Amino acid sequence: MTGPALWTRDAPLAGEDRAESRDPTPGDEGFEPVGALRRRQRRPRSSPQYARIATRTALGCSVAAVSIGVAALLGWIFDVTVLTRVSSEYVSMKATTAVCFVLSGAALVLNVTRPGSRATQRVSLGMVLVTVGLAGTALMETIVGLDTGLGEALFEDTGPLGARPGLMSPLTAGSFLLIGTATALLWWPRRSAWLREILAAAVAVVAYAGLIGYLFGAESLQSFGLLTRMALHTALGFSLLSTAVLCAEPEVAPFDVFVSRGVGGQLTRRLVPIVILLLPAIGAARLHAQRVGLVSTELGLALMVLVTGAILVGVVLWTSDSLGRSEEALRDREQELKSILDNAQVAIFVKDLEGRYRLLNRFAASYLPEASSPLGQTDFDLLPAAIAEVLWQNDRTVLDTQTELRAEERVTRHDGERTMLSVKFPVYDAEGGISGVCGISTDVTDSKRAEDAVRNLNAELEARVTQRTAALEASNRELESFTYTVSHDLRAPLRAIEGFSGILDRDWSDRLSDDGRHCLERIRVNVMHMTDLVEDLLQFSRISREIPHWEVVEMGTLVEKVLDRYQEEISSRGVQVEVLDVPGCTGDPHLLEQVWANLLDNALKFTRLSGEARIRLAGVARGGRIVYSVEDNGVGFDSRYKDKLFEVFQRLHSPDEFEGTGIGLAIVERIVGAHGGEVGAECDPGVWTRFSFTIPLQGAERRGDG
Amino acid sequence: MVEEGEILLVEDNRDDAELAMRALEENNLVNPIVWVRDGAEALEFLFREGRHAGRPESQPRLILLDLKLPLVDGHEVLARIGDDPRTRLVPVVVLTSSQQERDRLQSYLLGVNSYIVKPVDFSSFVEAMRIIGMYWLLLNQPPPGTEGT
Repeated sequence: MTGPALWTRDAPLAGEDRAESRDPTPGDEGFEPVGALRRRQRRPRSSPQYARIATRTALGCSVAAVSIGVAALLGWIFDVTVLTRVSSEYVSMKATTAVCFVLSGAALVLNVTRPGSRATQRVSLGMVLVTVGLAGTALMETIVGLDTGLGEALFEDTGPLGARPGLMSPLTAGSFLLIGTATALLWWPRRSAWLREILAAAVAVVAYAGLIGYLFGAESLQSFGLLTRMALHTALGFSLLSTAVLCAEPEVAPFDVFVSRGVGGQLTRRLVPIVILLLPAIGAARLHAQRVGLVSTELGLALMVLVTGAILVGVVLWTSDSLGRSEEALRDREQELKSILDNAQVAIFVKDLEGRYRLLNRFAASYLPEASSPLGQTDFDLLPAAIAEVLWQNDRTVLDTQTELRAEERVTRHDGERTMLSVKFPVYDAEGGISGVCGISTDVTDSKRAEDAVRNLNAELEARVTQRTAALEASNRELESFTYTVSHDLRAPLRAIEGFSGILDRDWSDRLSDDGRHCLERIRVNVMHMTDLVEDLLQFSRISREIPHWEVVEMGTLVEKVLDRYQEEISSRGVQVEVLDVPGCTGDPHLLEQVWANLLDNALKFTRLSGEARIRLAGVARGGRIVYSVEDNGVGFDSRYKDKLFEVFQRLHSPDEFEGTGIGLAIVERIVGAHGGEVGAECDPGVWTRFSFTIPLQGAERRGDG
Repeated sequence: MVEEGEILLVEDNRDDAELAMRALEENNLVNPIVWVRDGAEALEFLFREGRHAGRPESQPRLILLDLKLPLVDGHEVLARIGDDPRTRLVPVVVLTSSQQERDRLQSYLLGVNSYIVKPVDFSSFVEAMRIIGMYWLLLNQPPPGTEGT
């Protein structure tokens, strides 16, 4: 990546902020997905791993303190000097002190293992109270000079050292008061954090001083000038107790730095133990070497400085190296993020609480004026006020509600207005406080334009369809009026010819010659035929315009009705009509009746010359449709002209043989077609003729086609 | 047949008019027939204007009205008849060759008393005229105030 493409205001590595030195291990909370940022609690800065170690340490130290107390008590019971005073030159741990250690340690154990339990809290507080009572009494005895006998209540103190037999040192008593108070305060970990840690730290200092004093044989350091010194294992016990108190609630300031995940934590954890343990060890080694005459004072001092210095330098180098490596990993990670951000074809930016840009990627920068760096500036500085106002309103909403917001935003770029689809969400600092708003904006201008274009095109198409439909409707209307004209204007002269020729025939035929009567007869016949033609044509055009009215049709009933109409001809001619099963269907009963009528009419007509006329009507469901048929033994037709059968005005017989207009079958074809079916005709001339039509079974679903 | 009110025949086709008059005559209806050839003249006759200004103040017993007429068409004539109190009560029978649903509906909406489609063949036509005459002139009781005028 080149150049300052990713513009960020807060250099992530320069600051001392703990958040910047997060442990970069994958899976760390620092890399939680964006969505998880919503509505988060204030986040503890400690690492759970170290917090766990601290808690275990607290437990271990408490148990160790209890053990020390128990050991001392055993020493008193069985009179074991090693247990009561470690070495005969040292002061003994008083029995009361031992009891106090057992109680304090146990109280701490309860606190660490069963936090939050009311019963445990009561027991623990009781133990603390006893400890404080014992220590307080001892202190009083020292100050006032009383002897309550409490010191030797259990065992007689016969030791050579100590101001008064059985009385614990005021230093010890004071330490118990402090540590007891701190332990009690542990039950309210957050409210009393500072006080508790100060108390524990004070005890730690006293204990550490005692231990150092023993290490170097410096008595004043052991007693702080007070009357009695602290026993060695007492000092050890206090260092354990104070450690336990400090570790028991590791996530509370100020000692939380020990368990923090930051550089501070790393340094503290590494350096503090070295300083506390290593320096006394080196010092003790030097002192010992001098005492036994191995080295002179000068050489001893020189060696000590050398060794100490070397070790410290080594630790610093070691620490710096590991810190450096994790920092490098962070840099790599940041570089990766920069690459990702800068190559993202969406605008990504972070603004602070005042709306100033704190970070933005290259894509986002390309939407802002090029003149200067937008960092530290607000939209009001960079964009027209009206646009900035809208953006700021959205940002404000996110900041106020701390929820994600999705919005379409308009911005002006050098090449004009752009539409952005933005997702905005709050960002939080390491402490969990809201620190700004992050936005990810996709430029949807082009797709919106395409969408608009499609929409316009659709509208245009629609308009065109409407136009065409209107034109079609207009021409339909024209056709209708033409039909009207035909019906009116052709029928009037026909009626006149028919009427007057009828009067002529009726009133004056006796005045005409045979030839005249023949001519009149021909006129009459032709007028009749033309009348039929006009009527059929009108019917045909009317049916063409008719929309089927769909309903369930009882075909059997329909067929019976049609047969009734022709009953007279059937019985007078003795035609054998056979009706097989005709299943019902969905269709227009009126139109289907017309179909049957026309087919039956044909069948009757063309069987007129057959000796024994037979007609068979049938219907059978086959492949999603019903095939209806009318079969007869009439003259049939020439199969070569089969295709012409269903055309308007097409006749395969001369009018002299069979009258007709040639429209009947065309009407049948129209009606069946409107139902989504087909017509068919088969024939073995003179033997049988079969006309069939199909109606789809799912006819009802075709309603929409109307 | 005591009162012989006029029959007004509004028909532009002279053949149709002649056939109609012949049919009425053949049925021995003695009412005088007034034949006008267009809607305008029909209105003039009914409202005694123009060519028929001097006509006596009486209304026909029956109007036989074709729909497709020159100048003023049958529907318009129907509307005018229905709008005027002088003519509102005169029975009107539409006699037309139109079988259009539209025409039929509009005629009835305009208050026509009967709608007859002219049969094409003459014998049927004669029969139809006979029935019309029988019904409207003999069988049917005219509204009060129109008889004998």
